[in-house]
Amino acid sequence: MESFTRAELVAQRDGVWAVCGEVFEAYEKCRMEKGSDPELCLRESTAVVGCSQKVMREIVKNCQKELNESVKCIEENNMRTIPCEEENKAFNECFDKLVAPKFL
Amino acid sequence: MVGYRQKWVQDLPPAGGFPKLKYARTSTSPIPGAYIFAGVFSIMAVGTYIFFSDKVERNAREEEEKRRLSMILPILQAENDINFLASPHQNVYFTRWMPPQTGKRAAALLRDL
Repeated sequence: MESFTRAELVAQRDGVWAVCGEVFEAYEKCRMEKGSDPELCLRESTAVVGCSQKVMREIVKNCQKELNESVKCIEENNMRTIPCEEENKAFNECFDKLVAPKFL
Repeated sequence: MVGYRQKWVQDLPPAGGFPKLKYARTSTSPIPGAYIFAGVFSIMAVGTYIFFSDKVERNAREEEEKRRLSMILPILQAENDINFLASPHQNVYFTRWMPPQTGKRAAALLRDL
């Protein structure tokens, strides 16, 4: 399982929710219903990690430059995403053009 | 008899006498208290307005940041769950089950992902 930094995950939040939104909601619903024991929601958590990893792999393959710019901006602004709207817009354009057609 | 050569001059008031001293009270132009109160109040009102408008904007910004961060919480929590299950663990608490903090560890369940 590959690890990504918080800035990378936050930078691509809209993209990963567009693809894996249903899986995330199912996982959140399971955790809300069944409590904190991780074994009870193992299937959902595995699906969440698998889906996000898949999307991140495609993003790193196709939109590395835009992702790096977004991550650099977020890290320079103390993990704030609001000052990085321009970089995030460029990344979203790249995501919509190159990564989204493979999943949606 | 000492033979001083300097001619002594007595220190006397000037001819005609000293002018009168101005010892009467002189007050500045009076400013009414209401004017002072209004001025200070207006300054404080402006400052308070600036502070609260900036506070509202700051709170809105923080809420937006929190919302955006919460979008990635499923990923972080799922990774934490899988890392915890992939590590040797036992329940060491007697009150309720609480997941302990685990370091980064390769999850055996997703080794081929």
